[in-house]
Amino acid sequence: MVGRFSAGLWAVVFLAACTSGAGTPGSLPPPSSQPSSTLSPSNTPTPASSTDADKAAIEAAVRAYFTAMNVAVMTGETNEFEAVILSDCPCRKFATSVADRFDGGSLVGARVELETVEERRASAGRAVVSVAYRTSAYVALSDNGSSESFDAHTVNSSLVLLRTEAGWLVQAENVLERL
Amino acid sequence: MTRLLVLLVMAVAVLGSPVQARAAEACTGDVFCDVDGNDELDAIVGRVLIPADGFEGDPGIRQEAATCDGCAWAITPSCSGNDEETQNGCNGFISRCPAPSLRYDVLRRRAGETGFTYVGSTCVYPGTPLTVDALTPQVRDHFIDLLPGQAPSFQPAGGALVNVPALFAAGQPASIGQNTFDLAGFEVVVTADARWTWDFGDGTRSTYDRPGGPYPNDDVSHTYRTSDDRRVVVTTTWGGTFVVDGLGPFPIAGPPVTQVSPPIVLVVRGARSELVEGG
Repeated sequence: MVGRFSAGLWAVVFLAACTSGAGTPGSLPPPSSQPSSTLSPSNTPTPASSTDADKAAIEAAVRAYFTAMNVAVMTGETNEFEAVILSDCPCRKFATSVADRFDGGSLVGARVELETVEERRASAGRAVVSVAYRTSAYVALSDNGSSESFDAHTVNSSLVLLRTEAGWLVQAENVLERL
Repeated sequence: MTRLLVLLVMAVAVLGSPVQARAAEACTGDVFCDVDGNDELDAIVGRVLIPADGFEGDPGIRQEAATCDGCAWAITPSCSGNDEETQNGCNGFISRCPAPSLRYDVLRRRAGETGFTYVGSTCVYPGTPLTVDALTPQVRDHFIDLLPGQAPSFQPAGGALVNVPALFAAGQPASIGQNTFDLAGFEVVVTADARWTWDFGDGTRSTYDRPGGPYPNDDVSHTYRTSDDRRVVVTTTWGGTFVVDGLGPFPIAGPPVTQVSPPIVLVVRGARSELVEGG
């Protein structure tokens, strides 16, 4: 069996809050003016840490993911979303579903708002990030005139990102909790 | 020979079942749900058992996870898939998990908090019960197997006399002490005690926290006021707690575990005084 290890590693916690706003489609509010990184308690381990440049790039990739998600649900345009994810990301189904909804229909009021970003682990090529975000209530209109309503939710997810030649891209989103 | 009967009284206890906040619920048709890559990684709301082996993090986290009812915990694979990075310790983890276990991140969201916070990682084996409530039924089964049988008796063995105390014994120990066993990779320590309720057959019922014993033990005694054949029954009700890998103690939830003896017949005779010649 594996022995017990006392991990005296330091962690970097990345927190950035966004506020809701009526921005243009695809835009997300900028990171707050709160300190974007702080040292965590020494007994909270993070196996690998990233450089400040990596952290900034990773957070930018996360924000780009949600910005592209907003563009998709507000306009039906999914190219931007597909550009920030890897080809094998299960989240690609989102782009397909949005495209289907906008094939003669639309999503009214759909919007996503990123609330927190916390980098859990990052190495040279892979990062795991915890995010909390809010999805709005919205109505899906179809080409035959029918509609379907959906409630707002707060979502807690893990994002896995990989570094590629094109930069950090989302490999998977795993939803932990949907409230 | 006393035939033992273990009764599970189903109507009494209400288990605190774990609440699973499942992301997949009510998600049909909602495009935002389609980002999800794994429906099995949902958060567990309630008391979580974090395996001790391979745990990296503040030791107090394991106790908090096991006892904080208002917290949400997510235990998610640290690496995706069975790739080389997983086998090599998840991209920088300082300890590797022995196959077939995998390293999982432990995330916590306390009541009132918005997002989850990474609080450590641990090795998780496939099929490991990750909540106290999921483990409790298995503990309970072992607990029942541990219980000693009844062997009720009374003194005087030939029968009792009116207005003279008779002594009773359930034939069981007062406690089973601490019993340790391995369950799903966890070290479980069970502690149990019992109460004994005697129906003395004359309309009298009394409950004791001692099993009674042979003379001179008078923990359980009863004085009959009239002569007759009395059918005496003893019911043993067991309760217990358990500790998992040093976490707890937790009650062995569920219906009470009771043992009911078949009746033993005690002949109660009248006594009268009689003068005899003295020397």
